[in-house]
Amino acid sequence: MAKLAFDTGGTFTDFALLDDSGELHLHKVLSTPKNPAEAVVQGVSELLEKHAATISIDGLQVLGATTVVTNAVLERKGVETGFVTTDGFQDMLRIRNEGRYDLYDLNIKYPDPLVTRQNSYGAEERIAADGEVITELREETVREIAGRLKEKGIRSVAVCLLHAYKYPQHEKRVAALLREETPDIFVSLSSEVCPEMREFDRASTTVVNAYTRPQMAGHVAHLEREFAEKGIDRQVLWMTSSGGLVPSRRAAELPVRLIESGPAAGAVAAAEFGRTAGEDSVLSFDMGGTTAKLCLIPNGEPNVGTDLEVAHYQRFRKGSGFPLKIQSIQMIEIGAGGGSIAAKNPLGLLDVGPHSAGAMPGPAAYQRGGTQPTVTDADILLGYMGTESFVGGSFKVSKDAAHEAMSKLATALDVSVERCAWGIHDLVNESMSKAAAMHATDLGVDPRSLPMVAFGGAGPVHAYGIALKLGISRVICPTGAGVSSAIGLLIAPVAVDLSASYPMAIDNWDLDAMNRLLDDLSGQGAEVVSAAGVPKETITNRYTVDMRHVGQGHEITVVLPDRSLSKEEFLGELKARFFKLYQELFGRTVAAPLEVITWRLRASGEKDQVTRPHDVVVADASKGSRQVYFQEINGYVETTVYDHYKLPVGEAVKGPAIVEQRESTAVVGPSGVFHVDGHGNLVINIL
Amino acid sequence: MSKPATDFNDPINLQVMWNRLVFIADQADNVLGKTAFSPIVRENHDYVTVLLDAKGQALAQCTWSIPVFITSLPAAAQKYFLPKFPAERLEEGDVLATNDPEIGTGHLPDVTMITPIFKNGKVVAYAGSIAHLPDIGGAPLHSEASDIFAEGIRFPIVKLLKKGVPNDDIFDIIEASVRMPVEVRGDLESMIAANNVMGRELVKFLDEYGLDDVEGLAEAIHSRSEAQTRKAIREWPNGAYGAEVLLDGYDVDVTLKATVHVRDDSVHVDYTGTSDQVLHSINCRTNYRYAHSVYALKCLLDSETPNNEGCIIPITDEAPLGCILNPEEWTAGNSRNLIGHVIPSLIFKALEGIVPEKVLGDSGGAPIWAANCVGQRNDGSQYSSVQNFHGGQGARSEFDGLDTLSFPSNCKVTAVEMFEVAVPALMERKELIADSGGAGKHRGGLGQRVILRNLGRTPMNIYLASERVRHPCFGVVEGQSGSAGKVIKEGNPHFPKGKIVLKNGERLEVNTPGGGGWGKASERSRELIEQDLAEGLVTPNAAKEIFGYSGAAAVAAE
Repeated sequence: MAKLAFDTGGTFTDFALLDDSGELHLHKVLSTPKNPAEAVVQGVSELLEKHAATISIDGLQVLGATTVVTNAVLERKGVETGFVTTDGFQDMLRIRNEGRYDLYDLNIKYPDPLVTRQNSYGAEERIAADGEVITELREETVREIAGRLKEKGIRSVAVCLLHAYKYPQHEKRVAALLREETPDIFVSLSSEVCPEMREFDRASTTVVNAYTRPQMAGHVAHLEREFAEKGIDRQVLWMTSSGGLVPSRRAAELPVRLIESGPAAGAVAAAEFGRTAGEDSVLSFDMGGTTAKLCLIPNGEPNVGTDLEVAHYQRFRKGSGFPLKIQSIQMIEIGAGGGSIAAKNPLGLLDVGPHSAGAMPGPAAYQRGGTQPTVTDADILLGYMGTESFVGGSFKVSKDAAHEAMSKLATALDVSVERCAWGIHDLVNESMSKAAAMHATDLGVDPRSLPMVAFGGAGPVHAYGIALKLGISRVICPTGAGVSSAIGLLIAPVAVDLSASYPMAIDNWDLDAMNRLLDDLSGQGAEVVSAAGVPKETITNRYTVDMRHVGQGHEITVVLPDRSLSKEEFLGELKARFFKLYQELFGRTVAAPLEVITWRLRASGEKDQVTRPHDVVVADASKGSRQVYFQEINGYVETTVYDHYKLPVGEAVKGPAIVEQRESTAVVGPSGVFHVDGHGNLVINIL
Repeated sequence: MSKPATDFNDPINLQVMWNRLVFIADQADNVLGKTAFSPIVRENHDYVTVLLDAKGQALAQCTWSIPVFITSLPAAAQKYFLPKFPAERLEEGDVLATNDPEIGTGHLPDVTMITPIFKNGKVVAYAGSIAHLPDIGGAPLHSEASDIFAEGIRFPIVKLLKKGVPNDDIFDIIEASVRMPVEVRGDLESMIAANNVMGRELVKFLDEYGLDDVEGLAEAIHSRSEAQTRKAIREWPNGAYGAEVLLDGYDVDVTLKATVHVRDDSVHVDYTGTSDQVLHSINCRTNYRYAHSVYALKCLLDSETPNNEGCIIPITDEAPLGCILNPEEWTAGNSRNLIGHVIPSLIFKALEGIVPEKVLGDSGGAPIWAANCVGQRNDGSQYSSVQNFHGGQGARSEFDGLDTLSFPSNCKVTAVEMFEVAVPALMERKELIADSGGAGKHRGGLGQRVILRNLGRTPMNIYLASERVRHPCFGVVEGQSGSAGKVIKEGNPHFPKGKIVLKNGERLEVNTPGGGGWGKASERSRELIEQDLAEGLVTPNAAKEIFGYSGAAAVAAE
């Protein structure tokens, strides 16, 4: 079956097509931010035309990753949204959690809530923590709210009532009433979008969903219309933040789950790249122009959790955005990329980022008006990136311009230009390795034990340096690194993540309640996954629970033991798993009672595979040489430049070396030995 | 890999290594917060991790922290821990700890813990942490006590672990004295683990860079930071700048008075003129006071440099012995934050003529309001849980104050849904109070109204910590005061501090204070007033009366 994937990004929309014979074709077109569907349609048309002979439209599956949802929030271009909550709590979105994200900055701010105070309404009702209905839902208050929403022309509303994560009956009734009064309104319920405890986080998630929903629904409908005209009749599958694909209908209903759609697809691709290189567990490192993403992938599967935040008021400051409690691949985003600007800080020390020159004006070397030195300028001066072969030679850059910008900063810092450039490169590597170490320790893993998969425009340039700092001994740079997310889409399974908060103490275990709950989750999961064309019998259910010691506030996620075990064995195994993970994460265990807080299910179909082509050209892969700086030898050394695509498979070459692809360059230092494997991956072993 | 690591003044080396030290403190923070038992530690982040050099001076601290702890920790190390246990009396695996308020942070529930870090058999640094334990025996938090002995158990600086082996005698005494021994022990173990992480990571870092100790690095960090602070002080004109504020106190008004002396490149704050110590739990020890003096000045002088000893050195303060900011040793101080949290506002007020664009109005989060709810559930089990409530932040020169914000402390609050599981109470409302922010060119942040009802059959004892009920938060640079706080039980004003008993079905309402304004109300822009009216943050009447607004929006809003 042919598959066609598109990934809408900020600058480019990437495509990857797997034709009937299993051959992979890649493509890129400029994105069309005003109407992202245009670029998608253009790219799809071009690919289908070009490969008409090898694709049967019949049964062609289109897959998508998108920034539509993220951008709607970042650029505040969603629709005017209403918020309905338990009366007395209408200010929840403004009150937040009352903490500060910066201790010494007296001028901190938070993004304005996506719903204004005048569009926030209280429904008279109340359910207590134990489920007791303290106040019945007064339906006339909801009808009144519906009237106001209609008057104001509000098309989308978020509903978040207290304790609805466990007792959703009032929310469901509110939805029915709102729909009765205003049939066209989009209603997002917190008990459906994010059934998790802690009202502000749940409300924040539900509001982002409501805010972006009409737009995403429109985008989905538009594409399906266009595709239908081309004779494609299968519904599009969309990448969620947790790395699974869901059918269009669900994507349109729960757009908040797509907020990290592209990066999630990238992580899925990294897992696959690692697998082809014979590695189960890898550290994925994707570095682009403005940000970098690091993601730990143990045993071929990225970790999925609920710790996510969007629209930071201060770039990359944790706590300054809208919290989102959705299942998402746990990765760390660092505010440094090729375009990050280097400057002298008030203490006279070198700082890199968080400001970025972006694509315009871009690094000084691009000569588009940028005058401040960036990471890319440093990389050019160090010889890591060539000036001739930039983006396959189609894009000319100026080393002199980079030098000029760098000299100014070097003079201000009273160091040599070379030292300044190295300092920038090294400081970025330090930030990356710090973030990687934090991310790894968060998950209880020693980062040194993992090979790194590096991609994105700047990933393979910095990978060697970061690996040295972390003590990583193997770096893998795949081909097709420029369109990784699109490749990830081809591989990803159909999958849906469901959860229910239902606290249960181990000492007071209710097996029947557990079974009812899990059966309910698996029923829901089967419905969504089979709607995407996955036969019910091939669905895999993976149950996990968030657990903690009674009295603690932070839960860790444990895989649920086999349900067919006896109660005693089941609980014994559950405890053992908790203690093992706890020891790994925090280096100790405590003899205190345990409880489960949240139950989770991932229902998924099967993963796919993709073979990337590698032209084994028996020719000299060397393209020449240039002066490249290496800290290990404290200076520049004449270094051979190789063409990645022409390197013979399996032949080991000793560093230092530069290995170029069309969209990226890999740096191999003097301690590295590299070869290309049978899948086209450049594998660098660090001695 | 060889690195030119010995040149600590190289602007690149120093930045890379410094970042790493902050990261080490953050790693420890992560372990402490995620394994802690008491809600006050994990939900409110009432703890800190700090890396100290071999002299006990602060090198780096975790990024998310509480101001008072940060300065208290190195002070405790230098003044008390190191003199009592000099390096030659320490062995690898030793862990030192105390909860003495005079040494630590001014009240008994906070434990200060210091672990020596060894390299090649020599103490090269110390890992420090402070955390607020869920209980420390004695009277419950925020209840009343007239001396320290009523407030709980007190242990001097002891070796909690000797060569890695727990000193069970001490643990036994602590566990026998507190209401929640499992949680208390759990939190102490979290602190031990966090300090171990700092030790392990620091040694790894030293190995990587081929360093034997942190001396050179510490010197470079401290000297640069100190120079930066001194440079910032030199931009202020020399002189003595004073302010005073009147607080509710426990039952009698308390005056806090500060004179900020700017002398070339150093600042000295003198609290002479401040009220005497009292026979209630609101006396503020020296370390606690000093930490707030330092915090306020650092915000104004250099908010960007990661905090360390160098930032602190140019700042000193004093208060006469026997006043509420330098009380005698036997005095009670469990709720000392009710007084101490106001120090930054006081210093800002004193400096409003020097740096008007930097100071903010007095904040309703100064102090934190806290309700410690204690009682029995219907099934007979015991509950005890603290919920915090914050007022509005003071207005800034460029922005309105944020609503309901923890300032100068930095405590998140427990979610309503979590609180209602911990305590058999129903929170009936938690909402902003219109017009509570002090008027000004920029408006103070709004306070909140919370109504709490006891659902349990047995009475709930609420130990309430509050302030600014009689004396609201003041404005700066001619800004106006915010509204005062209120405490109401069953519809009637109630004495705002100490024990309040709610029988089944009874309600307690608290209104936290609004923040003070910045600048003249008459200078507030029309757009901001209209936006406030549209969102209902200011009523049409107040827009007219206080801001002198007469536009169409007021009529529409009416």
